[in-house]
Amino acid sequence: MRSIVKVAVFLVGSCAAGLVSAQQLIDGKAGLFTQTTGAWKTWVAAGTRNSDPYTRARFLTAGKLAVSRFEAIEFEARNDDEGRQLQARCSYTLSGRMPSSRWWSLSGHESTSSAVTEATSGGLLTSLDAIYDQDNRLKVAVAQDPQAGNWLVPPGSGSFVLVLRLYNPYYPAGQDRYAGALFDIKRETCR
Amino acid sequence: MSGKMFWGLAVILLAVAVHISFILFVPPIEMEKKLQVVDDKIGRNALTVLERSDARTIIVQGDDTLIHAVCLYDLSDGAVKVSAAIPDTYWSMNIYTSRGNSIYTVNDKQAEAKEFSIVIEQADTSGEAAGEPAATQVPPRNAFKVQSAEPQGLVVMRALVPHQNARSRIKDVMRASNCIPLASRNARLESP
Repeated sequence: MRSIVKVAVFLVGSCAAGLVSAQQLIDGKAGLFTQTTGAWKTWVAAGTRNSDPYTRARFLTAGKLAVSRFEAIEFEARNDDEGRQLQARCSYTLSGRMPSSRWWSLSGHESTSSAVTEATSGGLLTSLDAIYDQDNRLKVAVAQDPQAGNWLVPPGSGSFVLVLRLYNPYYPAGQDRYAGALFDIKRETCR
Repeated sequence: MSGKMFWGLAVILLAVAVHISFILFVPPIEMEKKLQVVDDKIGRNALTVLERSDARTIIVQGDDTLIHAVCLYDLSDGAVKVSAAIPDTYWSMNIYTSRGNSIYTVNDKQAEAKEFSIVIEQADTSGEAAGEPAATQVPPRNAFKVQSAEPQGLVVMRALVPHQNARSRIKDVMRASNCIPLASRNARLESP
């Protein structure tokens, strides 16, 4: 009886360790296959012929088809600038200069699992309807209550993810990935 | 070797095996599931502009600012030709294999025309894998060729909807695109 328990613990423990470690790498928590810019993270090899297995798993296990970074680059943020998880009960201010691209979209998605669930997405802001200030900077309020200017409603009632997609991004000469700063994410108030 | 060391090593070895198996085998299974959904809803070698609900299931993309069209290509009967009608907005086409690898991408600026054609053929054209004899698979002039290591995969077209009034017009343009086996196209051209 004792050896049966031992084998059961061994099997469950080993499988759990294998699956958890795989999920950690897929989520980019080890930072091996991702590029981090402030609170934002992107999978640099996404959508390329020589994409690594973890990046490929990252998109396919979420049901998504990756697009190469030359066609579109996708950044996601799960935390604010101070490392606190984004919560729908809190309001946030995003500010900064939008990287050059042909067009972009910024959206909020419920984060019920490690993968961004697009079906439960919240608001959407795009380059077609965004308002810039005189310095060509962008300020976006993420809040439940209506806000003046660019406003995004956080989805759901728990934690959420912000996704920034730049379509046809312009890379500086000699670079093949985005190297500049992205939006600051500052938490304002929480209910 | 002590008992603790044995079990420790066994745990590490099995964990590594599970880890590698998950990374290598789960993504292609997920892609196969996606291809099955497209096969059930649309069929093979047929291009369809997706309604929003289908786009959310197949593409899993929440942006309503994009219109998607997909084609499940099947090279078992030979090469497949994809002809795209490009709307006057941002447009892109990606070709994915059944393992989820993106093997080709092009956008409207690169296409530099209102129409764009591409022929997808299997990387190994020797033996039965090629299906039809090469003579019946003469690609049309000015068509790019892409080789797919897998006999099946997905063509995905994306087009930006700058404002909702333009949605039906852009959909109509995209509906003029098609995805047909080259052999049947050539047969049609040869028939009197």
